[in-house]
Amino acid sequence: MNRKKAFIFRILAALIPLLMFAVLEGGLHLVDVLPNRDLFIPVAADGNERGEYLLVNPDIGDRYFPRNGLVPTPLPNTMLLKDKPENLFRVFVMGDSIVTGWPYESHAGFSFILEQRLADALPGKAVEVVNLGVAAFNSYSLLDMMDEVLEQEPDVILLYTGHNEYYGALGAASTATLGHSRWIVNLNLWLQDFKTVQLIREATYKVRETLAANKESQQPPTLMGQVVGNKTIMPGDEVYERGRRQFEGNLNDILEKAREAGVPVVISDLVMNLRDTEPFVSIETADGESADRSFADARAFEEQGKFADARQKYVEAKELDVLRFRAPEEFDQVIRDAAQLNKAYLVPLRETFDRASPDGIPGNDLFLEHLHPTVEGHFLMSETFFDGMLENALLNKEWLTADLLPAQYYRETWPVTELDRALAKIRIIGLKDHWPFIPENESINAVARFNPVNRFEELAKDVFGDKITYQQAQYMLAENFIEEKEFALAIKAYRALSKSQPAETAHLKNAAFKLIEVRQFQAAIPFLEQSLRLEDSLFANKWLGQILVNFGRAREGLPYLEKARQIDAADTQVLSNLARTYMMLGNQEAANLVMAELEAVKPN
Amino acid sequence: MSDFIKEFFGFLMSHKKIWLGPIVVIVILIALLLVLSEGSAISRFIYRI
Repeated sequence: MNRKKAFIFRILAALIPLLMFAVLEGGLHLVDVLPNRDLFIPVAADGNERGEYLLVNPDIGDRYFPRNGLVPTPLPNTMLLKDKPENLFRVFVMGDSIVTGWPYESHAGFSFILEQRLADALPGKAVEVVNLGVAAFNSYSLLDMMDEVLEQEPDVILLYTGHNEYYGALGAASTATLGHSRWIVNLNLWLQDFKTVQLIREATYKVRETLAANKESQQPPTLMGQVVGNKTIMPGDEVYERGRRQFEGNLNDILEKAREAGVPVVISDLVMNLRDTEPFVSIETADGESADRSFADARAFEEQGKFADARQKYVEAKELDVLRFRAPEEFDQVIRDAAQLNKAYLVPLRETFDRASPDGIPGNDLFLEHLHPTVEGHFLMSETFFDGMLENALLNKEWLTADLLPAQYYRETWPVTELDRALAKIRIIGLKDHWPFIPENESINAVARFNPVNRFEELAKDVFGDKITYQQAQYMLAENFIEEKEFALAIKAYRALSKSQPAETAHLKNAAFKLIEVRQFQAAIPFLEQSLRLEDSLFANKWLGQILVNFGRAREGLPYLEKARQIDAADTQVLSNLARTYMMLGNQEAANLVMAELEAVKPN
Repeated sequence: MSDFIKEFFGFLMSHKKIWLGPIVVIVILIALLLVLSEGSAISRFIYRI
């Protein structure tokens, strides 16, 4: 073999690995052997003319979490239209468990309140707010999802993130042994988009599962206390700085991607419980400072009525708390700088929370524990983001209604029930029965010991214990209220039920049916209208038509009764009401025709 | 052409390191990257929804 040929052969041989990976990658795309890791998964149309949908992948957490622990999931059944219509105003809300509304059922979360408010504000537009919150997600996961989000042509992205940079997915204080460099983590996440890499990942999981199964009997489970003992993060130490750099780098990349795609981002600074969250772990610094001491000083200042000093000390206590479940203060500066650099819209959530808190110090009025807002807190968040969109002209003036409903309207009417509050209370009791709220292994099974004091708490405890579903509990409550003639409360429970599963028409039709049974016709109308937006049923058309006609709104009721006749031409109730409606409208000829149909269906 | 291919296959068989080596190395590197760079300290603190 001559030299030239040998050289060509070497080049060709060196290209074989690339060719093999390309063939393998292409082949894996064709065959369905690996778990789907796309952020959005197509869902088949269900035949009711709502078109094709995309579902937020319930297994998206698998991208960022090892499978040997809990893997968080997005809110169930979060969907968006696959092909974005011209008339749709699409908003993505990205972040962590706070964005999901935890520990409430999702509809109490700020993104759902905001969705309703946007729908009311933009009457000519279809509004779609897609909640992409997942517990323990941080800037790594958000950056990794960004390209897929931008492909869906959002009109606006809302961002609330920063508290999970240390202990969240792949965070600065994670147990990863290699991924402490931002570029290595992002390289890892980028590589995982390839099917070949996913195949290797699946193979490594199989190997690890086999090894773990063999080891299980010899090795006791690792105590979280030990892990945390190694992960205490002192202000300014290496891990602390790594977390800050990671947040800064990823956030700038996120905002830059959005800017390049021409998608506006609204981002807020970070809020947290200052007054009523004692430091998780307090360690004295070289300067003799400690979180516990600062917290005690804050309390003392508060007792003396020195609230500005108290606030400063509470912040100091949080900064010195070496278990960093609350973001450090300088993360707010990172957010401000990144927003300014990338022309994102910054909204002042912190100021809003301070203003709404007694003495300007956020505490248990607005938070259920260290981070998660109360319903009141979620209202503040929805209002701050809405105002931010409005003030920055992200809601086109041509689309806006002249009669914007005030924020107070939503506070008064949004269906957060006593059951919702009781359920959140019990979930918090469950959370606080574990580390880091109490020492490791000192759980007292607090939820089991919890004695409900009313029917809401009884039902909530059953929901928490998986004895009944949330929807069953709301049904039971609503029916109780109907029996007690507490119709306003029953309506609220039915609304909560339908908000919890907005695509489920059965809830809407059932609510309408129960309200019609007790002659609460006016109250039944919104449920019937909402169900018709999802499904053209005989029941909803018939009843909405009949109710409107009975209220003297014959012209409005007529199309519904006509539709009901199209669905079932033998329904005598529909036919007799339709004939009556035509008579009311003075159309005797049409009335006679319908009467003839009625005679044919039901001869005397 | 067929002679060229035959000769090339012969070359491949006698020089496996050139093409098989990178495949093995890349697979091992990716597996190591995946194993060593994943992990979370928060897994027991995830809020169950």
